[in-house]
Parts: sequence; C-alpha cells; structure tokens
Amino acid sequence: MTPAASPKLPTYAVVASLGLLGALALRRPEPLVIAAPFLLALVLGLARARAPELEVGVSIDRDRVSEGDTVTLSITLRSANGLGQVEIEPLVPTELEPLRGSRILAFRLAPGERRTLAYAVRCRRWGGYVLGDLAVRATDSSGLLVWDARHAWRLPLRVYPAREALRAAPRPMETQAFSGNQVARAAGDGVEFADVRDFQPGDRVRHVNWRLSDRRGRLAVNEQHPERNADVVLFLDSFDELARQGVSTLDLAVRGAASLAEHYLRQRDRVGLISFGGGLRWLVPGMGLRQRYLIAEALIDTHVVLSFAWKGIGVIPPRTLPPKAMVVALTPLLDDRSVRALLDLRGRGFDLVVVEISPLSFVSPGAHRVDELAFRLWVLQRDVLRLQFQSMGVPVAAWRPGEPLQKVLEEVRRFRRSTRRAYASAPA
Amino acid sequence: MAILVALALSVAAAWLRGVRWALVALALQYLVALYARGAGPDGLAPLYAAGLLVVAELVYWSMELPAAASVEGPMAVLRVRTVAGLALAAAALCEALMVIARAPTVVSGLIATSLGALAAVAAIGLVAALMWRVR
Repeated sequence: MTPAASPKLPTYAVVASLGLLGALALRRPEPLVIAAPFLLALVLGLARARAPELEVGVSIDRDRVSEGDTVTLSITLRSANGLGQVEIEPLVPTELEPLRGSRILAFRLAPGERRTLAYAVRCRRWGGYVLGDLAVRATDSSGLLVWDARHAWRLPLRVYPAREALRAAPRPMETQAFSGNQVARAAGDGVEFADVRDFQPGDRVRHVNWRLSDRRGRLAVNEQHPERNADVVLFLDSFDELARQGVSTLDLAVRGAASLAEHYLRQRDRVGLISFGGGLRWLVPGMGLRQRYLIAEALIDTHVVLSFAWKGIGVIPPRTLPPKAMVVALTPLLDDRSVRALLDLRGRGFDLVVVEISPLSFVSPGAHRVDELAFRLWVLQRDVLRLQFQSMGVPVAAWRPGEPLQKVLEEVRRFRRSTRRAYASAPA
Repeated sequence: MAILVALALSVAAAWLRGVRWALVALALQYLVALYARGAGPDGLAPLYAAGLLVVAELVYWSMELPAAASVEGPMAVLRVRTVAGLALAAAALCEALMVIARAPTVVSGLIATSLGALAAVAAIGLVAALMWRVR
C-alpha cells in the first residue's frame, strides 16, 4: 500500500508555516501560538503513523444462484498495528444490488483485531460475474496520511435466469422413438385410446374389444397412442436487443428459454439450444440433469454480438436440428437475418413456434408528428410480418415485460389447435 | 464573516481547495488584525488557535468520508474524543507559550531573531523528517 498525504496535511503545514513566518516578521508570540496547535497535530500524528499491515480475505457463500437470490461476501480484515479508519468498497457489478444502503463501509481496526464483515448483494440479472474486487482505503488515527489499495480475489459467480413454472407448453406435432410423456400421433402400445381395427394375426388377446367383436360378429382390437418423447430446439435470437429500465428483450428471451427448457426436460423430452446472432452457439438436443445444467450454462453466456455478416440456417450444424423437432423461437423479430432464418426453417418443414419478445414496450414514438407516423408504420410492418408467419401455420404470440410466459404459451396452444389442418397441409 | 461563509460553502460543495484556503485565510486574518491592533499581548490568542484547530479537524472529518458510507457508531465517539483531547492539549501548549513569551528574556535583538528563525526551520524540518520516515 502506498501512502499519500490527506488534504488535511498540506493545510496544517501551510497554517503552521504562516504562523512561524508571522511570528518572525511581526516579532510577536501570538502568530507562534496560532502555529503551535497545527505543528503539534502534525508532529504527533506523523510520529504515530505506521504503514498499515493489512491482511484482507474475501469469500462468498455460494457461487451458483438464481436471479433474485442473495449472495453474501465475507470480507475478513486484520491489521497488526491497527488503523484509525478503514474504508472498504466492494467493487461489484451494477447487476448486483447491495442490500444495505451504502456500498462503502467505514470502521476502526484495533491492533491485532480480526474483523469479518458481511456484505450481501441481490442478483438482479442473470449472467456470469466476478466478485471479490475490493477498494481499500486506510487512514491513520490522525487522519493525516492515507493508504489506498485494490485487492482482486476473482471469485466467479454464476447467476442462472429465473424460471417460471409452466403448467403446459406447446406440444410438438411429431414425437421421437424413445418413451416419454408426449402422446404420439401414431398408433401402438400405450395408454391413450386411439382407434379400433380388425384383428390381425399376432395381435394380443388382451387388446381384443370383446363388446364390439360381439356386435360386429368378428374380432376387433383396440389401438392406443404410445407415449413418446419429442425433440425441442430453443432458438434464441441474439442479433439485437432493446432495453429499458434495466430490462431488455434478451433478458426476457433468456428467462423464457430457461423456463421452457426446464418444462420440456421434466417431460423427458430432448432439448437443444441455438443462440443465433452475431456469434452462433448451439447445444445438440439431449435430456436429463446434465443437459439442464448445460443449457443453463449456455444461457448465462448469451450476449449480443454486433455483426453485419449475413447468416442463414446453413451455418447451423445439422445435428442441432433433428428431423421432426419442434423449434421454439424466442425473438424480438427485429433483425432480418433471424426472420429469414425462421421462415427458412418453416419452409423446410420444421414445426415452428415463435414467441415474439415484443419490442413495443421498449420503444416510444417520438414527440414529432413525423416520428409518430414512422412509429405507426413500423408497427404495421410488424403486423404484416406476424401475418406472414401465421399464414404459414406458425403461431406468433407477443410476450411483453411483466406478463407471465404461461399466458403467451396458451395463446400459442390455442392457435395450434385451430390451425392443425394448416400444419397437416404444409410441406413435409 | 465572509471567510466563514466561504468555508461553509466549500464544505457544502465538498471543495477541498476552497476549505484549505478558507482556513489559511482565517489564520491570515488574525495576523492582519494583530498587526492592525499594534502593541500589547492578545490574551485570546490561545483560544483562537485551539478554536481554529477544532474547526479544521471537524471540517476535514465531515469531508473525509463519502456521503454514501456507513460509519460505525464507536468510531465517531472515538474521533470526538481525539479532537477534544487535541484541542485541550493545543490550548495548554498555547497558554504555556504565552506565559513563556511574557517572561523576561535573556537574549534579544538579532540573536533572538536568529534563534527564532532556527527554531522555525527546525520545526519544519522535523515535520519533513517525519513525513520521510513514513514514506
């Protein structure tokens, strides 16, 4: 720690010097009397000042939390020779809000005393952070000298996005071969009744519908829908981001993706992730606890990378988009590249759902008449785009900040129920 | 009065340079007043000196910490005690100096002035040496 003079020291030195010079010039004792207290304060203060031998230690109680959780930093300080005043300012990112009113803590440290301070912060936004950086200012007991230092402890903290508990989410149109919770459209072994047909050699006797066989005069068997799992790919548009009052479209998209991943993984579906933006990142569909953590880790590393390069779905590895997978896109529909990619996916026969992170809540029309007109035109253009998707059998539901995701998904489910026929006629 | 107002404004605006020159101006104003008054000892000088030190201590204390800082209660009590102790010691020292000044002197004239200058240089040298030691 490097010592520096506090603002008090030069002032006292100037007043003392002025008094001494005055006494010599005026040949009177009174100026010396004025100088004496300041000289006394300087001599006593500097004689007692010692370089602080400060030991600092920082730890956090948890390194993985969810949004809204509280993390406590434990700051341990010890000084062998004591300090008149120690000021500690934990340098935490703005996304982490201190729970106590102030960011700076000031206290006295007696010789040999060990102090442990608890500094709690609330995690306001998902993401990866580094904690433990401290700005320390030590002042001697007279307040004449200060020592400044910065301690970097580099403690990683991962804040996972808050997840909304979803009761129901859009069911994929097609299922895969593995057993799961989705009722398949095909007939086979299962619980849900599907149809009746004539008995075929090899059918099991317990599937025979005896009442119907008696009425028809020939054997008839019941068919069931098997329970299968499905592939769901979450398509996160990270080309653009609009933000207002600490909330951004990307924040909502990431929270929505986390909620959907949680829901589908709980239903034993395979879930994949594509972060489509200036940087392309993907996760091949998988299931289980490991996939849950992989998705959570991938989501908190999501950020907008500015890029003007044109990107289509050709850049996405084919394994990431398995056949018959349902693609759930979380997008503000702002960038033409992501819109084209989604239309392309639908054109290739993917079962597509668009959750539109409505940018309208993040934009205000200008005060001028022309600005207002431009805003209205932009809103109309967005309506046209939405209709374009809907005419292809793709549900588009707008999600605004503060709204539950469940409400948006219900809108999607209702649209899909009413347009099942449109989907059936879409290119395979 | 104007200097006190300037000092108060500097404290309110957290302007350290303004505080410094206001305090120096308070000391300078006393010297000017003393010069204008002419001969005769000023019995209130120790009181003025101790008062000026207390004002300086309190002003710098109020500006030391950012407004956002949370300060422990015992630290404030300790600081008040330190300032009070320093003020009392300063008043006692000043009174002692006044008593010494009033006493009949053995030396006078050029020798006394030279000794005074030497003492002043020694005092400043002592402060500089202490500073150097800390660094």
